[in-house]
Order: sequence, then C-alpha cells, then structure tokens
Amino acid sequence: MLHKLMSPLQLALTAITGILIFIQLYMAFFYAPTEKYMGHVQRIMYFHVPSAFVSFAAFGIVFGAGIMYLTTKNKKWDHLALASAEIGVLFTTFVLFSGSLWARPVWNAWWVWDDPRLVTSLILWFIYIAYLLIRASVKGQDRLRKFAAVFGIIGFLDVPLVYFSVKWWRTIHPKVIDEQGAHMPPEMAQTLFFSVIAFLFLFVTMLGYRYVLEGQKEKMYELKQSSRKG
Amino acid sequence: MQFIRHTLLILTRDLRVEFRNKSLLLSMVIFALLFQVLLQISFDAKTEAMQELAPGVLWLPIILAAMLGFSKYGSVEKENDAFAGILISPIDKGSLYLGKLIGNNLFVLIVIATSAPTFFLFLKQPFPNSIGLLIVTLLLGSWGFVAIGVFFSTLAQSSSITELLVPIMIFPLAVPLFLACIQLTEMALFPSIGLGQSIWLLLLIAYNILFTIIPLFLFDLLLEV
Repeated sequence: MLHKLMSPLQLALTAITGILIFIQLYMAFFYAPTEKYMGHVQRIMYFHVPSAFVSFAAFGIVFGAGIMYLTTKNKKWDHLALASAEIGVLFTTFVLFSGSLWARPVWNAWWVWDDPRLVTSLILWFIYIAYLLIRASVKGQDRLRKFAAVFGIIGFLDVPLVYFSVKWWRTIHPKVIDEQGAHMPPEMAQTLFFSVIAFLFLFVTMLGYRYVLEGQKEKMYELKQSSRKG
Repeated sequence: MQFIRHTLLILTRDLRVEFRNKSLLLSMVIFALLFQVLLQISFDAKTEAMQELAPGVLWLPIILAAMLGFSKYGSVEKENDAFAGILISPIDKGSLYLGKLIGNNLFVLIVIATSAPTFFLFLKQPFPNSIGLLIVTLLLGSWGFVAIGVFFSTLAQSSSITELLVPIMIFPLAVPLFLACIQLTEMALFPSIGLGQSIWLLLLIAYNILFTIIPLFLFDLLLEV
C-alpha cells in the first residue's frame, strides 16, 4: 500500500529524517549542557539557528529554480520554487518567533532594530509573503509562473541590499548589541551542528512531499482540461 | 534611436491623456499635502524632536502619493482592452517601461515640488543645511521608487488584488531605498558631520541602476503572454 503512495527514495528519506530529528531532540534537550547565564532558554538556539539555515536554503532554491524556469520553461522548476517558498516562509516565521522568545529574557526586549540579521529576516519574511500572494492571486498559468519566477529572483537579490543598508543604518548610530562571543563547549557546538544537518534533512523531506503534490495537482489540472475538450 | 523615439511616443501619449483630465495629478498633489498636514498635526513636535521625525514626515506623503499614482496612471488602458493594443503594437517593451517610468516620475516630481516647500513652511527650521544634497536625494529616491513601482504595478494588473498586492510587493523590496533616503535627508536637513554620506549615495545610485536596468530587459519577457 505504502509503496504506491511514495517512492522508495522518499520513504527512506522520511525514515532517516524521523530518526535524525529524534536524535536532535535528545541532543538539544539532554546532551547539550545548560548554559550558565541564560539557562534553558538558550536551547532555543538548536531550533532557531537551523531554521534560519533552512529558510535561507529554501529562498536560495526559489531563486535558482526561478532562473531555471525562465531559461527552460519546464514547469517542474516552478513546482520546486513554489514548494520551497512555502516551506521557507514557514521556517522564517519560526525563526522570528523563536528569536523573539529567546530575546525577551536575554536582551530584555521582544524585538530590537539594531541587529541587521533580525531586520533582514523580517523583510525576507515580507518579501516571500508577497511571493505567495502573487501565486494566490495572479490569473493565467504561464503569466503567473513567469511573474513569480522574476519576483523570486529580484527578492533574493534584494536581500544583501537590505542586510547592508540595515547594517550601515545602525553602525552610524551607537551599537547596542555586539556579536555574541562564540565560545561554546564542544557538546553545544556538536548539538548545533547536528541540529543544522537534521533540519536540512527535514527541509528536503518536506520539499519532496510538497513538490510531488504540486506535480499531482498539475496532472489533475491537465486531466480536467483534456476531459473537458474530449 | 528607435528606442528613444518609442519611449517619447509612450510618454507624450500618456501625458496627453492624463493632462486632458487632471484629476489624477491633482488628487496626488492634494493627497500629499493633506497627509503632510495630518502628520504634522499628529506629531505636533517641538523643534528638537522634529530632527528625528523630519525625514519621515517629508518622505511619507511623497511615497504614498506615488503609490496612488502607480495603479491609476494609465488606468484608462484597462477599458476596452486598450493595453492589449499597446502590447501588440511594434514597439520595444523596454521603451514602454521607460516611457511609463518617466511619466510617472514626472507626476511624482510635481508632487515633490508642492509637498517639499509645504514641509519647510511647517518646519520651524526654514532652510536645509545642504539644499544640493536634498535635491539629489529627492531626485534619486523618487526615481528608484517609481522604477520598481511601475515595474511591479504593471505586472500586478493580472492579479485579482492589484491595489493591495502592489504595496505588499514593493515596500519590502524598497527598504534599502527608504533607509538611504531617510539617512541622506537627515544629513541634508540638519547640520551633520556627513558620516557615511558617500556610502548611502552609492547605495541609492546602485539601487536606481539595478531597478532601471532589470525591468528594461525583463518587461519584454513578462508581458509576452
């Protein structure tokens, strides 16, 4: 039954991801030592940082798939871009939430405008919300795909501009928050590294499902079209 | 040569249509002035506090008035599918973009020409520190914003929520432009040591070039359906 729904590769990937996430949870909650000053709240890092990696990888794929779509006009690339964008927005949302939860006790504020990474994440989130809105509201399949691809490319190119402008904006003003010293005990570093790997697997698995779903949707659409003609 | 001729053709045609009934230009100007007054009233700030607020108070009415212009400029083309006629006509789509960009920007410059003096009228400090820098910032800032505005609002015509989608698309993309404009305006308005002035100008110029060149080439590809 199951093999009819999923390819063996997808099944294997899902199983591996499940195991990795399980180990990641164990490492994040039990293996990694409790931080001396921040306490348990520091463990958010093992979810926050990997999510940020995932969201950036996701938007990178939207960018790459957009270019591939415009050059090849193969719908598969467009499906990949859409799948990736949705997951990217999901993880960016999580990055923003988890970051805020961490910042409240540690920086004593839910939000600060002084860190370029924070502001860039927020703008990134808005850009890809716009991307999803384009996907939801533009009429005409081909036009929509091209429009979305171009927006995905321009949006990604805009990210470094946003990052550096926010950085310059704040370095001219007094700097409140410094880079945190990255002196971690090895257990913490291992956990963090492992978390990033596990989350990337999670991302690839989710991307696979969403991508297949989009392909099925397309097939369904084509079937409907052909049945209408016939 | 052909390209410039076509650009001028689009520009003069659009302007002729818009100047026949001046309602768009007039409402943009009035809106900017009204919003300016609203901001001044709601902040009701002392001169010292105004130093922090002034760049925003200067720019917000201009940005929002420009925003109004994007969706309405050339809206007559929606009737009877006139826009399809333009797409079929043998002109380069790049010149179509450039023509609309210049026309829109002209409207925004007229808004600036009325809104900026009013701003100084309300502001207690009568003269800017550096009028040259202020003019350069206004010119570059409006060009850059109008460039992405025209590009994306033309594309968004095929959306079912055009009016909402346009600001949602362009505001996040325009964040670097806003930051540069605000910083440069602050330096232009008040005495400052001018720290980082060249870097902001550079950013503004790079942004303008990027968002003028990219649409020029992509317009053709995007509008061919």
